[in-house]
Amino acid sequence: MPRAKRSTDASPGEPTGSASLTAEALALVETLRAVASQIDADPALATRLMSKPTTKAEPSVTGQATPGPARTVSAPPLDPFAVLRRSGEQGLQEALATLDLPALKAIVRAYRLDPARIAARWTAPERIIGLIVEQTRARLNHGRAFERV
Amino acid sequence: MAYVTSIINLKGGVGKTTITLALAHFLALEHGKRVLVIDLDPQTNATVCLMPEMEWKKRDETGRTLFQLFLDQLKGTENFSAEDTIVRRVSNVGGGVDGLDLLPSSLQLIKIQERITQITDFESYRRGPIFALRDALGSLVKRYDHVLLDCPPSLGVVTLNGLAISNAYLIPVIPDTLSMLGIPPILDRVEHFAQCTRRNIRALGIVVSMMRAQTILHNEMVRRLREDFYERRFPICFESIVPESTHIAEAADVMTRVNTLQQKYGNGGPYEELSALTKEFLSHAAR
Repeated sequence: MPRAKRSTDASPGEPTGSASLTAEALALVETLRAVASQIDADPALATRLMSKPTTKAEPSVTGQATPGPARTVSAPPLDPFAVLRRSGEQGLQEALATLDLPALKAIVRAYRLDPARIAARWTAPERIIGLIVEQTRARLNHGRAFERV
Repeated sequence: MAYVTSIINLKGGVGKTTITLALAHFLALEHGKRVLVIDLDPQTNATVCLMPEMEWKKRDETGRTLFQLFLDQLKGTENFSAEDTIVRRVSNVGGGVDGLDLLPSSLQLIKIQERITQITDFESYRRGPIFALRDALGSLVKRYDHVLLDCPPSLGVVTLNGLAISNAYLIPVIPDTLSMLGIPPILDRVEHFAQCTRRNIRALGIVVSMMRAQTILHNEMVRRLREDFYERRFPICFESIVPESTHIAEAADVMTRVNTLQQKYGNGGPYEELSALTKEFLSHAAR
């Protein structure tokens, strides 16, 4: 296996452990750093990574509004950007209205529509729907003002 | 009396806007200061980080951005009004921050920059619209405790307008090889400008931004800034360091809902560093 070129930017006396790593190992280090950075930015990701993987025996996630105890939905049931582009704001509102709270929150998490997590404790689906529509519309229109100078 | 600081570097993408916006927010919200941000950069980034872009567009189309100021210089007109152009209570934090105002920039500045440059004498500064901003602001600056100028990555006429009203300037750098090269020309040209215009413009310091603490290069460059370069008469390097962070990058989105600076910049690391940076800034400015 080819060895990675020795690093030359280590200061005298500084550990040079990475210099003897293979190219594959260095790539792994970079990947793990990227994952760590993502976890730092999104604590919910850490929870998802450490949670038990879903098995076939467990009920599938549809996100449909049904009575019952609160549950966590990891996969977003729809892409709000695609729905807004295809069906407009009314269509997005209607699609979101069919989902329950965990499904709505999964959309917020998956598309990082609330990085400050101010909606984390909201329990009214209408508020979450309002947030999703507002943020999706804002991001789809981002940069429009710059199109013609 | 307002303390006026230009945030400046000849290199783009080194964190000028990020640092301007962070200082503005922390000065206003954590220290109760009245702050005016003047966005001199035609890229208009600080502007659209502080107000919705469509709102800015309407203002730009009705002559209420800095474009009008410089257009007046070319046409000999007097349509610009600083009073009407300043946007009050900007930012997405809590729906707007009391005491945080903005003088917005314009992409249209790109169209006239060259023509302004052609009528300017860069050796003696006796010809050209070097003092247009100073004259337009007049006594309005006195309403603020701090004025922060987000400068474009050049020392052209627009930046000189900022320096012409500045008490001090701050140099953000990424601690890498190329960013360092931009520092000596800034020191040299600002000193030249200050001498020619008989102003005292203090180099407040260097602020390290987008620091990746796990890289040897960045750590070594910070050491050089604090030791080797300081001995070569560089300004001091601030102790506070702005880390590379997703939270800081996301803070640029003015459409995101946030109520506090912790929510805007993320609890822990970035928030703490920016809070410390602001305290250090105030401490240096007071000397």
